[in-house]
Amino acid sequence: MGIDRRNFIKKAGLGGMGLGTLAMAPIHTQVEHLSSKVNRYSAPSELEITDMRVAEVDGIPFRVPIIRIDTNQGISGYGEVRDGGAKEYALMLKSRLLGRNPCNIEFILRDIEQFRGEGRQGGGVAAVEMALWDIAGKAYGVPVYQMLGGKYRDKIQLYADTSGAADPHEFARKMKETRVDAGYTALKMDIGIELLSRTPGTLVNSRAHTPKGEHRLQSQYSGTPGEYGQIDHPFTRIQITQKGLELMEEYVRVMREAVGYEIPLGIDHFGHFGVNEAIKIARMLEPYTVAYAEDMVAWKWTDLWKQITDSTTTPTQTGEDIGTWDGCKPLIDKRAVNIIHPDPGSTGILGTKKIGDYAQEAGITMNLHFAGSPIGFLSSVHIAAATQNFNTLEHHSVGVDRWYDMYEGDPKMIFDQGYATVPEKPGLGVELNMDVVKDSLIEGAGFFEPTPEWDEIRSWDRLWS
Amino acid sequence: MAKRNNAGLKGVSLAGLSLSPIGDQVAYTTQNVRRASSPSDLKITDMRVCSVLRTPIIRLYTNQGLIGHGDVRDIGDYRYALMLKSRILGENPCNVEKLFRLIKQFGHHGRQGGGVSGVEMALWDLAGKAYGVPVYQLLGGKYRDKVRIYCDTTSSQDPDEFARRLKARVDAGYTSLKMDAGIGLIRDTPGTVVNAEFWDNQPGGMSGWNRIPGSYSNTMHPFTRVQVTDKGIDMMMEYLEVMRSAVGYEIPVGVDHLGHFGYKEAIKIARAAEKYSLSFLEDLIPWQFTDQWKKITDSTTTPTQTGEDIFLLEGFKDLLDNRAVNMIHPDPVGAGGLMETKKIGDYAETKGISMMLHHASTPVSLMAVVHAAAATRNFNWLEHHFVDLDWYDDLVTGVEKPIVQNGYINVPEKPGIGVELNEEVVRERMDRDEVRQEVSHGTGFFEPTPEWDEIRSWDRLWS
Repeated sequence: MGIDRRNFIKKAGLGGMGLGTLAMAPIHTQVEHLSSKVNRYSAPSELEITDMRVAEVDGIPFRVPIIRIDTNQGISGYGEVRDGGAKEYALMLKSRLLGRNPCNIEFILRDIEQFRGEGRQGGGVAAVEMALWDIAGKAYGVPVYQMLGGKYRDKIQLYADTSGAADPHEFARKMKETRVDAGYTALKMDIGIELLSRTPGTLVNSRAHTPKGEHRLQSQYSGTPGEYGQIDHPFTRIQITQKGLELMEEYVRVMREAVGYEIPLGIDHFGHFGVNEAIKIARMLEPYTVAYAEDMVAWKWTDLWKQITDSTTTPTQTGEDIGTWDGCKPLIDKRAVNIIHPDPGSTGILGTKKIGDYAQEAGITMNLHFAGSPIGFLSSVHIAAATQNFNTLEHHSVGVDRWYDMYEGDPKMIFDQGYATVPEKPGLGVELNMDVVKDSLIEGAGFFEPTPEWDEIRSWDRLWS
Repeated sequence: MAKRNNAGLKGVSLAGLSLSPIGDQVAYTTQNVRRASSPSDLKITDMRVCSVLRTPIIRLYTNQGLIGHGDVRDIGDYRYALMLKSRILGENPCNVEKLFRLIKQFGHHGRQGGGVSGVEMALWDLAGKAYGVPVYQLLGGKYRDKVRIYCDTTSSQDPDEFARRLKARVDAGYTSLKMDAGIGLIRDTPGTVVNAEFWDNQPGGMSGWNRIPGSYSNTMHPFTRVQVTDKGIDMMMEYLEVMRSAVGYEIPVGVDHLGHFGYKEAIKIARAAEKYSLSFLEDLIPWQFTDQWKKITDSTTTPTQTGEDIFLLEGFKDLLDNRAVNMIHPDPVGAGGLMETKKIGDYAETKGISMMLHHASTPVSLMAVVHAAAATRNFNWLEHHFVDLDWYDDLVTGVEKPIVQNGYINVPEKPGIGVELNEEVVRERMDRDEVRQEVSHGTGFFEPTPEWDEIRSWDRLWS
């Protein structure tokens, strides 16, 4: 960062000069004064990307490859491949970035857009985009939200993710003590039908999806192809009985008793079943005025979502696995959900703002999914600040000390009575505690080691002839 | 690999058999079932790569000694295939469709589709070898015994020389031709092209093949604002006039690589070319612009064709549903493989649209594509891009040579794709970094790839 810093400090010293004295000063001094607030860290028009490196961490609570993009002017930018993504999704892009000016963000995005798949694959392009905004902001001395059009708010409301407990009262106590009492002003609870499956008579056809020798439905997070965890909702043919619905209702009733009705409470991770079960649940939830029922079926089933949404007064929400603005469009165009819920770790900074703005025209609110590192968190904070119909941002690391330790700086920036503060520093405005990063590296991973094997483009990238 | 253990019975006649013990009868009636492998226990154990002709050839290894081959199409990155390795290790390669659905999220339009497509072909190769069945049979059987080829031809600025090259193709037995006759041939003549000078002064000039972002090469047709004058069109038609005088009118001739300009220029050219009865004008504008394609197609009697950069049937649907082109032109090595190509063809057939196949990769995938072509009814002709490369055929063994005979390729009857690599020739010809500076390949000759064993991500695309 050496080149212009001394110069900058010298010029900044002029900042104290009053206008009265200035009028008498020579013209170049006047110019210096007028431009004394322009940041001279860098010469943006001559910036070039020189490298991309990775530090892959785990335990925050998920695995996240953090990337760093370096330039010829000593400025580096940080990004992350979202939770559970592969570092290769970002590294594949390195050869397409080398030598380019990182400030031409949209230009670069158009060239690498073809590598943005749905789900985690979107994380490569999104990681690069975060780092580019970070660099551009640092080069011009401007916070990212400002480059997105300015901000609508100074504080970003968070909602706290909360995984379940088998006992409804235990679950409610956990929610009250670790979330509400800690200051969170919006909540989310997970109620999966796995919880019901131990009680006979609650589910139909669950046995087909129960591992041999066990009495509990397989986890919805199991990665084995062809098993319950990977069977898309409409195809499991699991149904929920009246008894099952009542048992599920008990969790919500006890929860509302504990936390009251003022606080918004969403529900997620119900399990994998068809549209009719989703409607039954959504109707059962109506008296509890939940903020939303999330991911009841896969996002790509627009028509099924519309059916659910039109059948109940419980708001609906989906979107965290969508990679592109195009992917969100059918849900918005058909008003198939009440709230769109992209993860900027897939849809990117610019893309997520576009989704929000487009959804707003259709009368749809935007919540943001997030489960990564402080880098992705602050990226989302900038988007949230700059998008009008934004509502709440997910926080998946409540109680995960390592996540908070990884953030270097005033802890109140990332959590202050249920809100995050929009940073005013150049770029994303996030610094990491590199000792904590090093301590969190996954086994065998290096700390921003060279990646020369990704320097060369090995393909013809044009998508048309 | 277990050898067939009952081949010795083959000579036994039916008359002799009726008196023999039941065991012999069973052996006789199943004597044509190949026992090369035990398909239900087959497992993928490795994936390795070697690049030839700027095309990575992938090799899948199994626990039963069978190996399968496929290509990551021309100028594709071998990593598009290796990215899939960790997803299919330990899986049974005979479950082609199941594995295809696991990996297809990693494909995309253009070269990225090559990873998924190459693996799909290699899976069919393995399944065919395991059951002793040619791939076309696994796709539903064949409509033809030999597949008609159309050949790409290098261009010359001299119309007579260009025509001579095309005539030489005819003399070599080809029954269908393609020529590249675009504005590149005429633009040195003043007064032929509008707005060319602007592009001449940009990095990369008017070259159609460079990686420079924002160059003419990488600017989609409608946005160049290049136009062709009447004088320019007359000059372009001169090439067609001379060509038709040389090769006559019986043989179908298509024209490709016309340049980057908007659809109105395309319509002008297509109309001017009508009297030469071209079999198609190809890639006049990018495939993404369905509405503009439809305008071109509806404005002329010259047939239109596009599709070599499209991945999966769902990418073709818009063009097909709108009848926006007369012919669809997938490259099976990028479109998602053999089954997907058949699906594209079958869908196009219901819209009254026939299917040409693009190809510019190694003989491994050329022969794989022959199976898809044989098994799809509305298939017309398959492109051959290496007519002038005398060692192309030498890369493989197991097929009839020359591979193209009188303008056709015979559909192989051997198990799987029906080709093996000629390892000696592949070693000699494989891409080397110093030779191919632009697209170098660092894979060596099927070297181990353990760094791709563990690439993990949460792959589910929904929650």
